[in-house]
Amino acid sequence: MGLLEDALRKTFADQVRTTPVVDDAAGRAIASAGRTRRRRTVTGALAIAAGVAFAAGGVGLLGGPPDQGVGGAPVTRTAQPRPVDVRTPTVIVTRDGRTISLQRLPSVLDVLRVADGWLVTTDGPRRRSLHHVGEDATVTWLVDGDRILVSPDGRWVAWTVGPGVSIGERAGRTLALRHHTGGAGGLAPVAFAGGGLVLVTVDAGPIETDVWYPSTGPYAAGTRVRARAAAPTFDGAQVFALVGPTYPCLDVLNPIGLSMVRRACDLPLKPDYTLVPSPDGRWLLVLAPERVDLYDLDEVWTVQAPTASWTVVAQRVAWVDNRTFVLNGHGELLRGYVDGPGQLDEIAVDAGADGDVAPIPFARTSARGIG
Amino acid sequence: MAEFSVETEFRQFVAARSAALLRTAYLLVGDWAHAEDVLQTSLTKTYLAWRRLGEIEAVEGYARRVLVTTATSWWRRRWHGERPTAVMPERMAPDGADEHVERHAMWRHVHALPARQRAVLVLRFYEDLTEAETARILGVTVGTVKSQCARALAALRVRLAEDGVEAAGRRTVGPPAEPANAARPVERAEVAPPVAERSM
Repeated sequence: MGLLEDALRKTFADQVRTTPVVDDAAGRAIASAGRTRRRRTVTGALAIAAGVAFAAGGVGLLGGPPDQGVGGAPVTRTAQPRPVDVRTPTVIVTRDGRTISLQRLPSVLDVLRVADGWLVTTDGPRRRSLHHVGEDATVTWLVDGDRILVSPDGRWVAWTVGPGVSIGERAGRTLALRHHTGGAGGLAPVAFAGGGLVLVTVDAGPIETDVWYPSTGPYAAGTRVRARAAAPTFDGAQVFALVGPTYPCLDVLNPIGLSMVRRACDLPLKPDYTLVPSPDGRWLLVLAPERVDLYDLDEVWTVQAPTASWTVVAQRVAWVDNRTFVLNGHGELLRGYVDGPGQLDEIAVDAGADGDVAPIPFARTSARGIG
Repeated sequence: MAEFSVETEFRQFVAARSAALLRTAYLLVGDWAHAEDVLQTSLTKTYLAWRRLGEIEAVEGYARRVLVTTATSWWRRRWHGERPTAVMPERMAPDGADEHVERHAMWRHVHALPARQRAVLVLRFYEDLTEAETARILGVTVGTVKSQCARALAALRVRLAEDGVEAAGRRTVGPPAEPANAARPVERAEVAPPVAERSM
């Protein structure tokens, strides 16, 4: 052990030689955890109360004094409008408070907000399905498939049935088939990028990525790379990929030949993490099982570290704008800012108590699909 | 009854481990008040996850992981490098002052490091964790821990040298310095040149 390391040990020991006494740390943690649990309960109760009030003649609760939660804990509802639509397993709640029932669509996997409603992907006993749900709650079935991918702008849809891959163009409640190919068994679409459809292997074995260019004809296996392509870049021209078996590097790949454009390694990544770039392509949120990391895509290639990180269990995230995102964590809806104070704000949601609330992303027009 | 048991177990855990966790938090964030915030956040999350965690080893590991993640994430952007001090440490002082100044400089420079490099140093040289354990807590490879540690130590060496501090790192390349007032036998030939030279 070198002398510098010894000096470090002494420095650290010196600094904590006298430690302040923390007054009832356990009690405060228990109380704080209790408040978190009560907020969840009260949020559900408020939703029911609000529904009763509207049914009884529109005497709303919103204009009254702050509600008193269970045990007298004050609960102040946010004065700001909710930044995104949200969903539970059974309803969509719009930003302006309307509730759209999803009871006819069990097992909702994904929802995308489009101009005239929502595109809802559901899981069925045999296959997945894509539906259009209108503003008036009218449900229109669009397509079934083993795997279904909707482009970030909501215009293009790719789906697989056995070894076949199809691409359709959506306009309102109709989906027109544009391209089809066979010979793509064991592949699933993950991104529209650079005029092609990026596919990854879903069979057992190393994950590989390939691209199908519909304009050149049927799919023919190209030079697959050992990587899990995960998301298109903001302009749809390239694709983010996690390259490596255990602790992968973050790569930006050119869909043509899948050549590497940029790379950052030494990052706390695993192959199954979810990547969600911001609309302007400056930021990248990475969802890990117990953590959400934020990367600045201007600097990650040299800094090789996240800009910020939150310990939170989140499954879904939606960008509100280029600086703000909303995620579901600890069963609540939380809002974060790329340049904010570093803490996540809780957003009150009156969505009932029938399950976790998830934010619904907006369709973005910047994505380039199949031209 | 079950909730009572969880509370009791949690209180016992906090009584046994909170002081140690607080010290680690302080070394990560450099400020006792903020260290307490980080500790409270970690304990709250640990309590919420208590039933899921099960064994006490898992609890300890979880609490530590949350602590380090919370500290490094909050403070990467909040830390603005060196903190101004009202009074500069005096260099002229009784015995032990040089060591004090060196440690003050060391502490200052540790906190100017990127948060994750700082975390690696704290986990390796304060918590005495292995490289593998450090990697597990930070969610990176052992190779990354090694490289971050090497970069951090190199940066400290450079910055301490720039301060003119007799850094431990500098001593590693040469023989140990003799104490200034050490008495040792001196041979005459070392202090007095030959007579022929003196006459020129």
